[in-house]
Amino acid sequence: MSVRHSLLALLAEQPAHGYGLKSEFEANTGGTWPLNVGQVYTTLRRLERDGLVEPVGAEAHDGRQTWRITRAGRQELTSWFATPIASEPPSRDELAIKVLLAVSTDQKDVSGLLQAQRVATMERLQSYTRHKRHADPTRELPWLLLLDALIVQAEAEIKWLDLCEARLRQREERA
Amino acid sequence: MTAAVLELIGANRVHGTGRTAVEALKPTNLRIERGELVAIMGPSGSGKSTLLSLAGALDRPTTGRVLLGDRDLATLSPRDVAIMRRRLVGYVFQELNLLPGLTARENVALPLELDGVKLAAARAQAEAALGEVGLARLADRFPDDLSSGEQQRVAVARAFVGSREIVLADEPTGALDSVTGEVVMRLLRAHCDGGATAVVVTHDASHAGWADRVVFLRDGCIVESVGEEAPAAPGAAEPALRIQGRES
Amino acid sequence: MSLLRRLRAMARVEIRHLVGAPARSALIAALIALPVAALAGASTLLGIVVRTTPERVHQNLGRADLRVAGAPARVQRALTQLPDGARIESLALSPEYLEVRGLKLAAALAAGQIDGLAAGILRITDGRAPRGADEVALSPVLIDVAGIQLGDRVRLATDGRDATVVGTVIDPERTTRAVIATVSTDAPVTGATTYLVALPPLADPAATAATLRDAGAQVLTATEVGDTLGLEQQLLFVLGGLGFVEAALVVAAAFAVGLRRRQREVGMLAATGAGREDVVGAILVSAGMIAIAGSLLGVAVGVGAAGLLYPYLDGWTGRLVGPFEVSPIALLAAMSMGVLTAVLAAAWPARTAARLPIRVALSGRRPPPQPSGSWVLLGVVLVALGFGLIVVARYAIGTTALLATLGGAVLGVFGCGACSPWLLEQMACVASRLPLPWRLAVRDAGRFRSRNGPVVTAILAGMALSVTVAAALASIGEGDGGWTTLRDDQLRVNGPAAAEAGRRIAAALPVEARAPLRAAYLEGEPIRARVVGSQEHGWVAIGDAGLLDTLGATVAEPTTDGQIAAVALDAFGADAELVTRDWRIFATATAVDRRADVAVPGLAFVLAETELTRHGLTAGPAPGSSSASWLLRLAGPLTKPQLERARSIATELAGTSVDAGLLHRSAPRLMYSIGLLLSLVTGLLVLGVATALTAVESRNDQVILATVGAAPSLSRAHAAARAGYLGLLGCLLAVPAGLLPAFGIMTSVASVTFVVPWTEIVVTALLLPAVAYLGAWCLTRPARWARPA
Repeated sequence: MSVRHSLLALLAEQPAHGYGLKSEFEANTGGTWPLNVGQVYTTLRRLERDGLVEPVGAEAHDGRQTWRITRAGRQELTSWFATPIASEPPSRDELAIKVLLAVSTDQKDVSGLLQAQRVATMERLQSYTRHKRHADPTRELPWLLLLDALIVQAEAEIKWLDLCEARLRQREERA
Repeated sequence: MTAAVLELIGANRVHGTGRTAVEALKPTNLRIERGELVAIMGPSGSGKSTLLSLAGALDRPTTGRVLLGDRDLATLSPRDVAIMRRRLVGYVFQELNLLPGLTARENVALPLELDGVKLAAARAQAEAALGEVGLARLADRFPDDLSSGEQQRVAVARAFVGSREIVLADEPTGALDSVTGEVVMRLLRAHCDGGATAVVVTHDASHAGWADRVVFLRDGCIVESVGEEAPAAPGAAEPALRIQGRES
Repeated sequence: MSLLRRLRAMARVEIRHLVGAPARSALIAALIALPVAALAGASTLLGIVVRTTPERVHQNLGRADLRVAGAPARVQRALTQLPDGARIESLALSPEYLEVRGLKLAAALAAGQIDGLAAGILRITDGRAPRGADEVALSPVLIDVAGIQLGDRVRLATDGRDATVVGTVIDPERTTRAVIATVSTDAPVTGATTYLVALPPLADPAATAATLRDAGAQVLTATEVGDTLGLEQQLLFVLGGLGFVEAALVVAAAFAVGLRRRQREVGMLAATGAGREDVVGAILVSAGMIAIAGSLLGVAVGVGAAGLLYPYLDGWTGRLVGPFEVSPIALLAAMSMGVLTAVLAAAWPARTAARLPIRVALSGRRPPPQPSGSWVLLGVVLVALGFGLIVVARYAIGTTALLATLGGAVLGVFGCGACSPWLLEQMACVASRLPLPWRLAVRDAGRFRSRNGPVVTAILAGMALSVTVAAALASIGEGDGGWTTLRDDQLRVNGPAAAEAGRRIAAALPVEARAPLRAAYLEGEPIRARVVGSQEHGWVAIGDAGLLDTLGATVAEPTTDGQIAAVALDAFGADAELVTRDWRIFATATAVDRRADVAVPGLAFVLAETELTRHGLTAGPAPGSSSASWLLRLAGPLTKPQLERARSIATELAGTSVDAGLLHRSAPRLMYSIGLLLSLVTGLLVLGVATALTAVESRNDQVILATVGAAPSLSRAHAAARAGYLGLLGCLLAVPAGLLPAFGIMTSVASVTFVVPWTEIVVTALLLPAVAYLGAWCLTRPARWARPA
């Protein structure tokens, strides 16, 4: 959903063509979220089908088409911003599945897995923090906010790994 | 090979004796290089504060050695330890770092004043240190008139003042919210980038992320050490972040 | 009922704290016990020392019903109006000198029927009363000093009469007083004569007294004796009151510190639903319990100490005291005072703790200090009120005067104390250039001024006690010296060869001035100077600047012809009437200078030689000598070896003797000196406890100091600076607070002059803080080098 609404949000500011939308999206997310042009065009066409955007004028000679947001598109965008993210079904991410499977199938070195993962996550977190050091807090605020989100996610991951380890240990002690 | 500022060689600490003896820190080797910012993480009771106490001569190892520069802390007299704290090591604790009877400037100038530096000179240096943490305009306030974040920054300035080589911080962000805590970590980071050394105990991974190296402790043992490689030179290219957006 | 149940739950918490902190509880109990012990002990001792009313009547009237005094002519006229069957005996008191073995000892000559109506006013303790003109009884002091035994011959200097010592006599009110008892003589009396009257049965003493008063005589009856309050009682009452104020303040500080350390807990209790009245009630219950324990301890210690001291009382008080008795009412009163003090002292911090907003209490932060400016205003108002009460006390009598004096003293202490928060705040503002330990001490005191104010006030109360006692000591000492003895640096030589002896002594000792001591005579009788419109009188000396120099007086501005017209001495006013022996006024004189510290017994006025011829006077021997006498003034106080030397020179010349103040000791001074010492020790104790209590506040500071590299000894310097600073402030404020009641008490007692003991005050105000500084330095352990977990 997010690419769809991101494009709508960018078009709400000013009309743009497909390639421009791609660059602007990447600039706003600090270059951490590359889109390919094909994905942009596919999304635009779906938006047009749903009556949320419309082409402006004719296609230019280099094949570029400028798009703008429709009234229905604006309504859709407003309701998207207004709707909080509802609780999602349990995470389907790979790490969680890996750990759950390792525990339930009684793999030998679960704590080794946990430790290795913690090192990896910590390294990722450090790398995010290094980016944060060089980010300009006024000009690059969206970027900074994204980094914060990533750092908090990584932190949560580390906390979860700690918790897993503590529970495993409790189980061993009881046994 | 850079010089080690702080080194623990087989240092351990046992509290109590006989049946009630608890080994808070098992024999540990740790080497901290000049210019490093090292974070120590671990659950409660894992020995991280004990490690920091040994490093700062707040406590002595039961066996093993703790070297600060080329000095063995165990051999120092209380007087020498006091001198070491004035000249080499700055501490920041979670809270209650400042003397409430002294202004921010006087608090920061304290180690210098205790070291016999002339009052005017000590206060000028303190002013500079307060400037470093961005609090020069609050120099004449008393701690009670400062927010807890500002108090912590004054404590950091006091740990920086003079020509201290190493800052030891025990949960310096523990009593602060994330944004204020980040300010403190940024200050420590900048200080280390300027060539100083710092060891920070924290249970907050997001704050540990500012460190060059993160040491994990579990049950008095170092279990992992992340970021062992030498600190990246400022401005070096970082591997580009790749994030998979969860598309639907 | 539910309130009681709630209180029980809260009180359980409080009592756990009492038990959990035994040292603090013991301290509070001891602080309560101290004044209770002092009050119980002092009231017991005082009950023994101070006469009951019948005893006092006996002391003042002997066996008589009336004691009559006044101008002789009027008294004689009045006595004729007594009913038939009344028995009249005279008792004359005058300065006299006893000559024995080359010594000349000043004493009071009591002439009367010592075993008659006067029995009780004076008491024969050994031998018998004198029965003829050639017999005397002497007080133990004279017998000891001169080494006399019963049966020895002595000479009375005034009329040169020899007499045999037949007994020992004491003045029960002042056993150390030098008294010579003799039967009535016709010799000229320079002192006062009173008449003791025993009325016939059925005569009404009050009606008779009224008749005599109408005739112009001064009359004392048994019913009037009971109303007077002794100086000691006044002092003890005021000092005891101040002692409780002192204890209350320290106890309040102790409770405040305890509660401050438990601030979060009190906040938690409040957050759990405990009301203010629950918190206050529980604290008061625990305070009451600890106070009862402390009071019981105090009563036990006080009575025990009184019992131990009892055997020495006669010697210390200079009186014959009664049997050892304990008054249950007094003990109960002391105990209730202790409990009341503790509960009141706990109420203030309890109220403060309970009123703290829960949010602030839970944060563990200190509430912002109150502005202290209004406290100064309060202080000034209190001091003014206190002064007002002291003035009231001067003109009131009996219990009213006593309560007014105590009230004035307490208000003075609180008034000066109320200024302390402001002072602490002001000092903290100018501390930035001080060395670190002092800067910390001054700043902390300023920051915690609402807590340190009471501490300073407690120290102040303690020191005010000492200042009051010191002032009493100086004033009473002054009053004593004025009447009976020579000054410390004076030496008097008597006898026909006094001039020669004086010359020889001057060659041997560091004598600065000497002059003949002569009295003015009219028609062969010595004249007297009398205070205008009063009975107070003294004899008149003839002399010049030389004599004044020996008296220690210097006339600022001699009269035009370089002669001194007249100088009033002692407690005299500027104007005096010169009267003959039968009180006929023949001239008046005006003084050009007045001195209060001239100590020749009975001397009132010095007339210039030129005045002699103007009034037709002649010069003759001074009272106390039948021939010549010379007065010598030394460079400093006379020492015992110097006196021995002077005595041996005097004995070389026949009939010559020496007299010096050294031969007369003053017992009450000793008692007050002990009192001063005790109050100083107590003051120091209070200072120590109070500053130790404030030290609790800075425990965390010591850790911080250690972690930034403070030498371990800094904690000592810090503690010492705090004790010194609070002590200094308390002592300085104690000077006005202590002088106020002393002024009130001393000026209300006619017989003593109020003297400010500047030396003692300066020494105390500087010495005590210095001792506190050193004490805190020695008692503080160097800071531990590790940060506790």
